[in-house]
Amino acid sequence: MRDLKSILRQLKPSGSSPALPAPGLYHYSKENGAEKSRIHLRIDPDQRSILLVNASRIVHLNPTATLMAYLVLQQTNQEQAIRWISGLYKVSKSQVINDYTQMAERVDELVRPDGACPIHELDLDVIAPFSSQPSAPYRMDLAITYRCNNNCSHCYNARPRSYPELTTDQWISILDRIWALGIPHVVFTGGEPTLRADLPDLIAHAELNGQITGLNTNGRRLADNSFVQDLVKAGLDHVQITLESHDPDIHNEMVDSTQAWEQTVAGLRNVLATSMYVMTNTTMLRPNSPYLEKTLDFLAELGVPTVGLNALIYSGRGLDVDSGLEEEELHPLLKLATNLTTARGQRLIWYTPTEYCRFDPVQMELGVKGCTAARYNMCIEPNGDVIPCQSFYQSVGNILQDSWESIWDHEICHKLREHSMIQVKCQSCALLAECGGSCPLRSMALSI
Amino acid sequence: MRRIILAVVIVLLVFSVTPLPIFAQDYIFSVPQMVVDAYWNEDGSLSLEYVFTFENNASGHPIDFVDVALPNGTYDINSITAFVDGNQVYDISAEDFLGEGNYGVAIGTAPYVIPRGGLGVVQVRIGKITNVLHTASEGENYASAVFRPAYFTTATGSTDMTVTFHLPPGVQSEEPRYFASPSGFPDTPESDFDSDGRIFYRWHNPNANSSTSYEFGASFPKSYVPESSIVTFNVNDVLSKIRLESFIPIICIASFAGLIGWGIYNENRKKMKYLPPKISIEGHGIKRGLTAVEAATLLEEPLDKIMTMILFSVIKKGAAEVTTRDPLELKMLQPIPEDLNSFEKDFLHAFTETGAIRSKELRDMVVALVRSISEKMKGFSRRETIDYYREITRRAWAQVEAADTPEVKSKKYEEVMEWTMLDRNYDDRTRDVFRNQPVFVPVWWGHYNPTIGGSSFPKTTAAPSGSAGAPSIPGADFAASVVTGVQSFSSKVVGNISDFTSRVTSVTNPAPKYTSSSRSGGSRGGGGSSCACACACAGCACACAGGGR
Repeated sequence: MRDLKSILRQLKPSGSSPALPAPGLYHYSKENGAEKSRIHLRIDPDQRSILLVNASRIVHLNPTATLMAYLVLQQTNQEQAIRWISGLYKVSKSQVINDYTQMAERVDELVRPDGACPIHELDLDVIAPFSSQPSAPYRMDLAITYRCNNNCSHCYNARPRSYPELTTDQWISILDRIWALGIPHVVFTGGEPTLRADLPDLIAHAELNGQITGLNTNGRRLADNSFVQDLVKAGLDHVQITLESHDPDIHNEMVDSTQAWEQTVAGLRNVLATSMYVMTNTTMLRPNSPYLEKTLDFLAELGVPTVGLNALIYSGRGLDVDSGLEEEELHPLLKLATNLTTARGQRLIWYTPTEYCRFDPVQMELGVKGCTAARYNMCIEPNGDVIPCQSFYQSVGNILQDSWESIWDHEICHKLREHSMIQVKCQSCALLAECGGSCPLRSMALSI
Repeated sequence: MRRIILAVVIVLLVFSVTPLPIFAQDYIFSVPQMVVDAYWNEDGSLSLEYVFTFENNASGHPIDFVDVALPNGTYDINSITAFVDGNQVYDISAEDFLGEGNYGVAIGTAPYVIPRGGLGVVQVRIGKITNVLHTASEGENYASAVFRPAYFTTATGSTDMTVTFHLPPGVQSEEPRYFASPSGFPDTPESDFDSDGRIFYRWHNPNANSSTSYEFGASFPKSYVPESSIVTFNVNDVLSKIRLESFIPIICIASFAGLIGWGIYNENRKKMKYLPPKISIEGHGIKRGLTAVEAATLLEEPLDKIMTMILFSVIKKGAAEVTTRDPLELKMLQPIPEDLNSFEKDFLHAFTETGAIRSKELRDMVVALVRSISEKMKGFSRRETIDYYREITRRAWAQVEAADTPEVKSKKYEEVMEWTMLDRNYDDRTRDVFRNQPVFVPVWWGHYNPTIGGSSFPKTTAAPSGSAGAPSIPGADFAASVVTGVQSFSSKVVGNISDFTSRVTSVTNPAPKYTSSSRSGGSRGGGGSSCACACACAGCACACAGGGR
């Protein structure tokens, strides 16, 4: 007969004694009918964590919630989970049962892409916008090349097209490093990232790591459907294609290429035929904004599910192009876009941080839009340099050579996070926490 | 005394609740002496008396808590007392119990914490535990009592351990039987009568190991305890719980459905402090700037009250006046104020119609109001916003109630009247506040209550400054007028308010929460939620997500 101890040991979670989950990035996939979720739980050393769902919904968990979410996502038997938690915390079992049950329900909803709204329905605690202080960004943009087959007059790129580029192996090691840093989302950008032949390989490697992958492109190479299929096979999750106008002439003039529009639209059609999440982006400038309605009509006809709009970025050629709109001019355009996309069941994403006193995206029900550079996202240049965002061309270190701490704690990063690069008039504004004083690049341009 | 030693292997029916305690390393102690008295009472219950002598190591953590696990939840917590070195302590809590197992109590030793290097005696008495007896193997006429006292897996040194079973009063000397003594204890326990004349069995081992779990058992005729106090044991339940392997004889399980009681000195006090799980999301907190009517809608106030608030609002703004109160009819005033909200315009338009059309337009107005609130709340915390408006209501009443004179009170009330109506008890509070004093009604009140001008109310005092020409009326009449306004609206305008509300909610109520069918299909990674307010979440990485090329 077996002794009591051996019998009782059977009752414990197999192979596990109560312990906190190790800090790090945990990746889960969940599929339920039409709903597919990629879930990342990033646990910090202090056991706080963030839960990211499809790299778009981000919630913050305290240590207890972290452990519970971990156990839920690990599909731990509820009885074992409750015993586990009870073994770690000073708490009555009845409270653990109650809290864990509620937590499990919430996590189940949160990880559903079409689950209950965390604010409306789950009634989560709401914390101030941009109040989180993560240890690393949630998203890393990878500008794998600055080469481009377009030549946009408003392009924010401030580097030469011939900027030195890393090898495939070096990019793979970068992908591994940023995964180890807990960054679950990468976006390949440029320049024009599709000009790198190894793009599918890099995507495949990132996906193998567990990262969600995106591509920001002018879409011209996507006119080649076999290339699109290569990207699909590699596991690419989402694509953003820049289309400046429904009108080929306007688009081609803005990107300074006579063949661009046809290839871009062909590429857009190709990706829309895939299972990838597709959106477009249009920079509203003087040449194209008068025809925004027709452009939106065109995108709706194509079946674009998500439409992105933004304003001029004051970097690179954007500093001199002089075709940017005043922020006050944005209101009717965004009102129009909101009405049209809502009526058509499309999603509208407005990107550009603005001065809320001049254009308030919250009042426009576009959401809180502020600068997230060096906080929620950063960018790695073709040579491995890290910059605060893909338009802010001041290196804060090199991802292959420097410690992450030296990069993340760089003076420029701190200034951006602390809203130090703002206009004087914004410094005492009550809206600063949400507004952030608009895009720092714009503030710097205006102060010159 | 008839003594039968049962050489039977005891299967511990521990109901899966005895995972061995895991001890934190910085509690370093020994238990030089432990005395346990188990009283098997005539009502079938068990009383336990523990006396632990703890010797704390000089480098050990102060002994600040002792957890005593219990075999089930049917104990009387009020019967539990505890002493440390003879000093009674009162920190006895089931909620704070951290030991393994489902049931137990935590004894806080403060302020008599046993210090490092100190010696301390902890006495714990559990007066009543029920459902502790089972049918014994000797036959259905015997009750089995099995007990396992505290054990301490990391305690050092030996323990002078004494365990005494006091059998129920009346048990005769030839009747009881004791089970096989645990290892290290004499084969035959001491037996005699205690001071109460009860037969006792006493097991003593001066060199017991305090980290070992010892088990003691006895049986006695059932007739000495109520039949109902003996637990019927379900083999299948236990099998399913403890997953015993097939070679364990079921007969043993059935025969020794015993009780395991144990005390665990709980070094698990080194467990982490528990904070309830908290999930937060970046976004807006409070939605400020709602009108009182909108706030009332958010707070899900009754619709008749909300419509009465709209009525007051349009009258206050000078957009309409009541021509008759029964039935309620309005006259639109010119010019139409520019600051009318859409729901106020819709409300006024409804009163240009009559009968069913008016009722339908009022329903449509409310539906539109509810939907507009839903839109306005996107990205904002509903809970915080509700709290915010509840606080506004509380302050509004506080201002009115704090006013010293009828004049000031009337003025304050006019200023904040719409907010006071958000109070669920606004009717009672209105009556209470104005019961014994006059009210200087605001000028616009005459447009709501035409009788004011002609005045069916006796004028009692002069109007306060700022209310020139305004009459004063008895407070009770004024309060009644406000309160009955709502009731009138319900009965005279929309008829049955429940039916009216149903017609509204049948349109406004969304699909039940959490149903996927109410939302669009899924998306692949990187997409984002279809909920419009998701994009209001600032933490969403799509904020400045790299457009602009």
